[in-house]
Amino acid sequence: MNTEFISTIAVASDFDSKSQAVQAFIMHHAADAHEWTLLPHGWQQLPLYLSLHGIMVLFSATLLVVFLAIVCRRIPAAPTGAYNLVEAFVKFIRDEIAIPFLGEKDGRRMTPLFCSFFFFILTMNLVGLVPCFNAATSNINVTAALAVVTFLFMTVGAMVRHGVIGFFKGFVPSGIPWPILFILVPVELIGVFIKAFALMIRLFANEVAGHIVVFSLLGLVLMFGYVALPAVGLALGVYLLEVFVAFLQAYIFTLLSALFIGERLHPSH
Amino acid sequence: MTNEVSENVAVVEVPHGGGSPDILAVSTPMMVLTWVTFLLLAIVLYKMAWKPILKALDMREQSIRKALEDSEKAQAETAAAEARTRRMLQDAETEASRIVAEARTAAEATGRVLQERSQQEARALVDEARREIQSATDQARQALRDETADLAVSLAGKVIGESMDETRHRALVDRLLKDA
Repeated sequence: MNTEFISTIAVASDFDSKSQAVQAFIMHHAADAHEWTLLPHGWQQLPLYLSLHGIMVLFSATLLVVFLAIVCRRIPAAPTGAYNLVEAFVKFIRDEIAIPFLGEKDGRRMTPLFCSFFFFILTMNLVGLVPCFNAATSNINVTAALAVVTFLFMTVGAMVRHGVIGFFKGFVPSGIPWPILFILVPVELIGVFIKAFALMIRLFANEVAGHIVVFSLLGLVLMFGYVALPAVGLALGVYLLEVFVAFLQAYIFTLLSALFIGERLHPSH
Repeated sequence: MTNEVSENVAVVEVPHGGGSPDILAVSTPMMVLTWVTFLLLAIVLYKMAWKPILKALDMREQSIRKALEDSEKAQAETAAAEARTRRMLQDAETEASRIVAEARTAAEATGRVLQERSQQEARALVDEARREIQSATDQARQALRDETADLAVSLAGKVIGESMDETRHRALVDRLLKDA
C-alpha cells in the first residue's frame, strides 16, 4: 500500500495528480489503518480486529509498564537517574496539578489517576515520533475514550461525592439574581460536555496536525524534487517541536482534567 | 510557478472523495480498547509505580522535615550550651577578680598593720635608746660633778691649808656648785 502511493506519485505526470497522490498519502498516514509499515519497503497486513492505532495503544501501554517496572524495581533513598526523572514528574503532578485543583485530601487521592493520564498520553505521543510507529493519540477514538474517563469523574464521581441533587446544586452559583440563573445554569450544564469534548479535540488535533505538517513538508520534496530539499530542515524543526508538544499536550490534558474534576467536586470554588 | 502552487493548494483543499480514510471516523472497538487498556494500566501502574513512588516521596519529605527539626533543635541546644559556657566563664571571671580584689585588700591591711607595728617598735627602740642615753648622760654628769667637787675641795684645801675640815668644805662646795 505504501509503495503504491510512492509509485503513484512517481508516475504522476501532471501537477494535479501528483498533489492529489501526496494528499492521499498524507491522509492515509494520518488515519487509522490495518497495515503497519515496518520498513521503508515492507508492510505488515494487520488482522481485522486490530488496527494500527490499536497496536500503538497496546504497545505504548506495554512500553510504559515495562519502563516503570524497570525504573521502580527498587526505590533508592537518594533518587538518581531515570527513577529521579519519573519521581520529579510524579511530584510535579501531585504538587502542581492535583493538590492545587482538588485540595489536599482529594488531590493526594487522585494523584495516581493523573499520573496514569500524563504518562500514558506522553508515551503514546512519544511513540508516535519514532519512525514506523504512530501516535495513538492522533486517533480521535483514543482521545475520546480518555476524555470520557475525565467526564465520568466530573459527573458520576461528583454525584457519588455530593449525591445527584447535590451535583446539580453545584451548577447554581450563590449570590446571583434568579433571572440570570435561567441562562447560567444551562450554560454550565452544557459546559460539562463541552469541556470533555474540548479535551478530546485538543489532544487529537494537536497530534494529528503535527504529523500532517511534517508529512506535508516532506511531500514538497516529492512534488518539487531537489529544489524543495530545505523543506526537510523545516520538517526536522517541526519534528523537534512535536517532541515538546508531546510533553505539553500530556501536561495540558492532565491539568485540565484536574481543573474540570476539581470544579465539580468543589463547586463553590 | 506561483500559479501552479496556488492551483495545487486549491486542489488540496478540495474534499477528498472515493475511499479516502476518514480521520474523524468513530470506532467503538478502538474506544473500548483504549478504556480497557487505560483501566488496566491505571491499576497496574498504581500498584507498581505510583503508590510506591508517592509513599517514598512522603517518607522522604517526612524524614527531611524531621532532620530539619532535629537540626534546629540541636542548634538551639548548642546555642544554649554556648550561652551557659559564656555565663560560666563570666561568673568565673567575676569570681576571680573578686578574689584578687579581696586578696589585695587583705594584703594591704596586713601590710599596713605590719608597717604600723614596725613603726611602733622602732619608736619604742628609739625612745629606749634616748632614755638610756639620757640616763647615761645624767650619770656621767653626776660623776663629773662629784669628781669636780672632790677636785675643787682638794684644790681649795691645798690653797687655804688645813683650816677647814673636810665636811665643811664639802658642804661649801656643794652650795657653791648649786649656785653656779
